[in-house]
This record gives sequence, structure tokens and C-alpha cells, in this order.
Amino acid sequence: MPTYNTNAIVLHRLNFSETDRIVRLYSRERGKIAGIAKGARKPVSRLAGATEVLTYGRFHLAEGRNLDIISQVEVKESFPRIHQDLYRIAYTTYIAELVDKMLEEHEPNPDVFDLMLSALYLTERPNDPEKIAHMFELQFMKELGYEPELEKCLRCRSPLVADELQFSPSLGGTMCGACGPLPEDAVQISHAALEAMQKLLITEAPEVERMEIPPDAMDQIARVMRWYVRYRSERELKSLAFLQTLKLGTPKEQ
Amino acid sequence: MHYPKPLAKLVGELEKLPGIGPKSAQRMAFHILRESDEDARLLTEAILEVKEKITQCVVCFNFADKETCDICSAEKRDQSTICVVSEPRDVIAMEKTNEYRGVYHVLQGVISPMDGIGPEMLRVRELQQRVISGEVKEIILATNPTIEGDTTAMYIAGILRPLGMKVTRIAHGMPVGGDLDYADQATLIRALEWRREI
Repeated sequence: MPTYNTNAIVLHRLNFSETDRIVRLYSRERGKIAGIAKGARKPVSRLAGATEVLTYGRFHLAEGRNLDIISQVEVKESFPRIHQDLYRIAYTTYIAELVDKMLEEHEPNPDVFDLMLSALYLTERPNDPEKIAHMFELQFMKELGYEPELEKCLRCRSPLVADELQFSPSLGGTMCGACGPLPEDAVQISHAALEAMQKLLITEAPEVERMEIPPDAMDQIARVMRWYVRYRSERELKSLAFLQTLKLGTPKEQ
Repeated sequence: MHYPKPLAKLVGELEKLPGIGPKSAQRMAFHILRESDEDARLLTEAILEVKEKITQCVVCFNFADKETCDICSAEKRDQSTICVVSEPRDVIAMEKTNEYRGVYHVLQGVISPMDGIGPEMLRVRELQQRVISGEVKEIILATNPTIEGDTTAMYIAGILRPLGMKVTRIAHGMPVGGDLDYADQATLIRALEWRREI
């Protein structure tokens, strides 16, 4: 049975049989892989903590017929601060679900892997988890070839200086409000929100930490991106529902 | 498969059970076939009885054979302490310790955003009602130390704390018989955080 080592992040896990877990990993070298962690639900199992969702580690696997077998894990980072904050959990779970649902198995993309890891480290630090999630969404879409047009009007191709701007998920970007007719899915977007999105699309980690996004603009980005991701992924991501519940009125937990 | 029809039906039904594959189902079916009529009748009766008589306790949502379960109706139990667990089998695990004297609340699951399970699908509102209408002094959150368990505990703590409640969580850290050398970072961090004087 051939074995291999890979750096990977745990995306999802499922209890299986009496004490096993089926784990979906996103690895830098091999893309998304499914493995089985035998005995991982026993309290003294060495795999128990290592197969928790969002754990980053070096995984040693043996190739199996259907599922690869996880035999050892060296945990590099378990993101303890994320696990202690409801909002951080909610946003990083959303990131994991995006990667899990939008990528196929065994299609490595080291840039997406590095982006996800960087987003997790940024959320572990005292940054607004929502800002980091939007940075991830935008740059992830770009990596997949779905970069939205945020610089020029989709219709007249001139710079976006009009007072009223619209974002259309189906057309894939922004347009002047006057360049009608507007598609049915167009939503209004402010200049502040658009500028923040332009920055989030290209910004590297240290700069994104310093970025301030006004609450109004953040709400607009959230709405626009929710529609855009739904349009591109052709589904509503499940973790968004919980984020919505939190936003609608649960006291912030620290 | 070359089973006679009734046998194939039994194998098919047994295969639906968790953790039972075709081979195990076959072995069980052959065993049932060989055992006495009396044993087979007792098994079917037990299955039917459990479906007929077991309901959920109206107070704690644990399994019960009457309206209120034995724990909730026991006079000796401390009604002012509620231990919140996710599944009925967690109640059994806690009861085996013989240490806990309070009552329980079974959520019937955990919040799992990625699987689309939100707080509205669990018995969270009922817990809130219990706390508002009762003489509760302490809530012990005994969910698993997993991302879903953490999420559930933090969510419930967030809605109960404003009610002036003492909300605690069971300790996490090294398991009895564990090996420090093999413990992961998260476990050790928690073990350090939750350390106590001896």
C-alpha cells in the first residue's frame, strides 16, 4: 500500500462506524482528498484532535481502495482562538465550506491552499473575521477564474465614477446605474463598498489587517458577495444560514 | 443474492442499521434463523415495544417511558442545576459516573453550520423557557470539545448569560490514561488554560 505525506487542512469530518471518522482534507500537493481516521473518536486517540475541522497539519496517509487511511498527523496549527469565538468559527466554517463545495477532488491548487491558510491565520489574529472572509471570497473567486469586474462599467467600459452604481452577479461585476437596462439581479453598491472590494481583491495579508471597512460598506459587500457566490456555485452554502442567525441578534461572545 | 425471499428481507432490514454491512447483516440473519422461536419473538417484541412506549420526556427531552422521565421526576435530584448535553446517550455516560445529582437537558443534536443545522433545529428555545420559568441556578454545558460542540456551547452561553444565570462548561484537557507527548496543541492549550491548584 503506497504511502504519502501532505500538508493539509481539515475541511469536514463525519463520524463513521463505532469509533472512526471520515475526514475531507484540502491538501497543498493533492487537492481535496478523503481519508479515514481509524479510532479517532476514542478519547485517547492521537488522531482525535488532529482531525478536528480547520486543523492544519502534515498528514501521513496510505492509499486505500476508496478512502485513504490517515495513519499519523503532525499538527502545525489548530487555531485555538478561532475555536473560542462564535463569529470566528462561523466565518472560517464558511471558508471551509466554500473550498469543500467548489473544488473537485484531486485537483491541487497551491495558491488556493495558501490563500485559505493565510485567511485562517488572519482570523486567528485579532482581525474582524468578516473582513477576512470577504477577502477570501474575492481572491478565491479570482483563482477559480470568476474575478468580478470592479474597475470598469460592464456596459460602457468607462471608469466607475457615476453617482449610482450597480452590481450584477449574473453579468459578473459592476456597471453605471444609467447604463441600463439593469439585469433583474442587479443590486445597488456604494463607492465605499466598491473601493473596499477592489482592495480586498488584491491586498496581501499585512495590508488587509490595517484596512478599515465602514459597517455600511461591509453589509453591502456581504450582500453582493452572497449573491455572487450563490450564482457561481449554483447553490446556497449551508453555513451562511448560521451566520445570518448570528447577525440577527445573538450577543457577541469572546 | 441467492437468499430465499424472507431471509433476503431480513438481511436487507439489518443492513439498514448503523455500522452493519452486508456480511454482518448476513451473519446476524443466520443467527436469528438458528435461534429458538422464543428468542426471535422476544427480539421482535422488544423492537416493537421500544417504538410504542419510548417517547421524549416533556421536560428534558431525554428518552422516557412516561411523560416525565425518571431523572426529572426524582425528588432527590437537584432541580436547580441543569446539565446540557447533545444526545440521550450523553445522559447515560454522565449517569454512569454516579457523581452528578442535578437534572439534564438534551438538545437532540449540535449546531453544525456546514451541515445546515442551526439552533432553531435543536431544543434551545425549550431550554430558555425552562430557565425563565424555573428555579435554575446553574447551567453546565457538557457538549463535546469539537468545533460543533464549542459553537453550541458558546451560542447557548450567549443567550442564557443575560438571564443572570451561572453558566459553566465541563473541563477539557488531557484524557485519563493519555500521553502528554502525543497530545495535540489544542488539547494542551486547553489543559493549561483549565488547570487547577492541587
